[in-house]
Amino acid sequence: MLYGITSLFYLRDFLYKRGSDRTNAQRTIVLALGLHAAFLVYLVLGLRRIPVATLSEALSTFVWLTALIYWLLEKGLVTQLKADRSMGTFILPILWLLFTVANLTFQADEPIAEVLKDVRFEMHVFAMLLSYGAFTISFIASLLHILLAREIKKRDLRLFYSRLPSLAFFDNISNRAVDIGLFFATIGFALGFYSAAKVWDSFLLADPKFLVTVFSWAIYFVHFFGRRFIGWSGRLVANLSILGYSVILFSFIIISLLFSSLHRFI
Amino acid sequence: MKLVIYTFPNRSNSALLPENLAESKQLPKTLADIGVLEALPVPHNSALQLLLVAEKVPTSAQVRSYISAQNSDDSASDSSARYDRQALHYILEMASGALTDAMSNNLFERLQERYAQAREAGWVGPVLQYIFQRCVWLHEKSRMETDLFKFAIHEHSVLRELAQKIFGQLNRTSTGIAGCPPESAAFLMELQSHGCKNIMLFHDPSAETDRIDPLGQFQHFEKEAFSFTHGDLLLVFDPEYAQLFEGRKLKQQLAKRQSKALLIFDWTNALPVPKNSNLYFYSRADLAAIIEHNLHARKHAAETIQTWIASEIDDFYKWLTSDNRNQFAGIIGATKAMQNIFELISRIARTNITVLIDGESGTGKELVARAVHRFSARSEQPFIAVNCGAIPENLLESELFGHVRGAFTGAVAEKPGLFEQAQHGTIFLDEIAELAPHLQVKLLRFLQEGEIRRVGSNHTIRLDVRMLAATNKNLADLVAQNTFRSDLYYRLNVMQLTLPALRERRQDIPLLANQFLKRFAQKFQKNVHEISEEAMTALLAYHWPGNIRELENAIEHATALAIGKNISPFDLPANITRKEKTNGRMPSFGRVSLRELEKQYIIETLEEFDWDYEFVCKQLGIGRTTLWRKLKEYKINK
Repeated sequence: MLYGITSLFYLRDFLYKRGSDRTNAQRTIVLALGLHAAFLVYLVLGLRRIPVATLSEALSTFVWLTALIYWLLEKGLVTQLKADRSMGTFILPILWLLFTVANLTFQADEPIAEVLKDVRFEMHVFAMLLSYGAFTISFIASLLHILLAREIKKRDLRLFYSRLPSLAFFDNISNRAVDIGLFFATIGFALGFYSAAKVWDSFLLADPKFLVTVFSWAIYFVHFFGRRFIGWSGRLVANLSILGYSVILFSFIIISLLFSSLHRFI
Repeated sequence: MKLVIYTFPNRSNSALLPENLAESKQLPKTLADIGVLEALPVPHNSALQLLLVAEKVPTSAQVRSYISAQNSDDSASDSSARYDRQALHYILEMASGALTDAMSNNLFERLQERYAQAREAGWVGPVLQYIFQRCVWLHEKSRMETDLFKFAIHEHSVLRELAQKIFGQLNRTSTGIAGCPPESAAFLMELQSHGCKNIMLFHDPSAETDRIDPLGQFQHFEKEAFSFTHGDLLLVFDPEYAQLFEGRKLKQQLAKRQSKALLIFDWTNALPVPKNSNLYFYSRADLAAIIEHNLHARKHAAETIQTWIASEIDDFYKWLTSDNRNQFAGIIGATKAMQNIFELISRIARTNITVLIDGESGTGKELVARAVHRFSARSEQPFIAVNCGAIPENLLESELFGHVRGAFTGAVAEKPGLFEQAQHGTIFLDEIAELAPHLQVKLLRFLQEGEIRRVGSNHTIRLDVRMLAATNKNLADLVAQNTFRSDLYYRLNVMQLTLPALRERRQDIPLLANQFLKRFAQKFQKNVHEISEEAMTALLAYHWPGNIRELENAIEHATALAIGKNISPFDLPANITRKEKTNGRMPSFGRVSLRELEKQYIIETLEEFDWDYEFVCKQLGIGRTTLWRKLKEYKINK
């Protein structure tokens, strides 16, 4: 609920640039983060594990992590680079949506498989969620990059031009977010391999979920490699980031719905 | 009183204020003879403009004959005129930036320069002073409260904005300029002033580059050396480079750049428009379209300003017809020192800057604080004045910051402090030097963080309060003696307004005295109209240690005692007239010759009265011609 109100404030700030909306947005996002954190702590104490085992739990944790990362970026606490509030306008509605889904599907005493109560597994999911959060931010930044670049290119300067910061800024945020995301994704993968090797005797490389996820990881790796060693930048990497995120979304939604997979949970 | 602006097209504005005029300290005789009281040259892009204040509007022919006398070239040209409200509207529009003329951004800057010169030359009187103060105030208001100044309306600033949107900060962006006509100078200046350091110029060896690179700080290259790898921002001023933009050549060029963003500006409008995903291409025509759009947006923003201007014009005529023309928000002052203060108040009122007002006691510090509040955006919000010296030290803290229940004995209920009552408004702390050290710390915290804490409370309260402070002591001395915190002093002293003592602005004494006389005559219901000449001489000669407050009391005293219509010297308090008899103002110059003494005395009096000959003659008891003769004899000039 609070995420919804916050996104409204962000949207109003974006459209009309009024001081009161900005302060309201900042207040509500802190409030939302705080309440959400309290809820998660309550879950942790109640379940005696990190709440990542079911879809709704994982989504909820994911929303909280992403909001936290964004908030830290906006406050300029993580890097020298401060995230611009205009990004909040686009990130918060997504989070709001996901959080609503999480709450709708939430069941207090869902049975979970015994294998999932393993610390290594929990760390695997946690790292993956962190990396997805970072990829989300990169995705939004890249999307805004493309939108702004298009406006400049068409020589038709409108709302995005007057409200958004520079292309270089989005480049920077997106790239840094991919760096962070890639780091956690790699850790998550390693832990995932380890758990999977223990749980399943035959290691199923042919699992569609697994394949698609590896594919998205590869895209982000190319993103990273191209930037570091070839000198890619600008719209090319922005497009790559969007592609990588689309694949993740694909694996989340389409694969989960259409194919049966061993990796059922998320 | 009439206002008129004459515009003479195709003339340069520069010759209007010859330097030798500054010496005479008054309007040139030719202008005075045609009934002009005050004059101000008004900047224009291509014309000569003159704003005149006169009892009767002079004809354009009369004005033209004056201008012809100043300018050697004498091409007779037609003039156009704006009268009264129209003229005022034009000036106010220029000041607020609502004038949609593409150059209006610097027109007001130039007007301010002209005004300073004209004031130096003695062309400016009370009417122009008033208009200019309102101009400055309106300018600040529209700058702070509208989007008007945010729209770029010059080619070079639009291009710079584009570059910033693409590259972020420009200090790492390298720039190549191909073909360097003099027109590229504006672009170079703009880029350089926004942090662009790495600038390369490509041109023929024969090209004159003195204008665009007067300091020789850029790298120069042969014209043929130019390619797309020479920078992220390329400005092409020469149509010959068109061949670089053709099919294969373009591809080759861009391939070398990987996928780095490139902004190309085509000044010639002649280059083919290239298509590539990382290439942003703007021609001069594209910039013109953006400027067009921005001008339109500006017009929209200017609509609110028009309503401000309309009410400003009404206020002007109200002021012009009222009998307190020498007043600024209730403060009387016709002297240059006070006019400067009024201008400063107009300039700073709309900002939220902390102001330290200092001056001897009785100089009207609170009036100045109220004026700052009245002209600020907070004028509808509370104004709280606190005299820090008048409240016992142990009460002051809870008085200022409030307290919670049980904070100390007697604190039976929660109480908000004066700071909280001033929320969204202004708080004025008089006699700030009397503040105890621990309160200084609290005040510093408020100034730095905008937060206060009630006495005995644990949580802070954020406040939006503008603070003004006043003192009659020299805070710098107190800092040196360690009785006043230096960090607080620097925080307070962002902007200092020093009010002159009354003896430093004796010309205002008659104005003030008559104002007080009017007030007290009404209060005591007495029919006293005038201050006799002898009494006024006594008032002018006295040194007024208690400043305006003392003058006010003296006039109250005199009005109460006065018999008949005049105030005679006998009605004044005894200490004022006694001084006059013994001439308490006799300066000591040591043992010097009589001649030297006379010279020194004249100089001192001249300086004291700001070279106002009329006052000086009155003071010295000599005629104007005698004064002139003495000045010549002693070779005294400004």
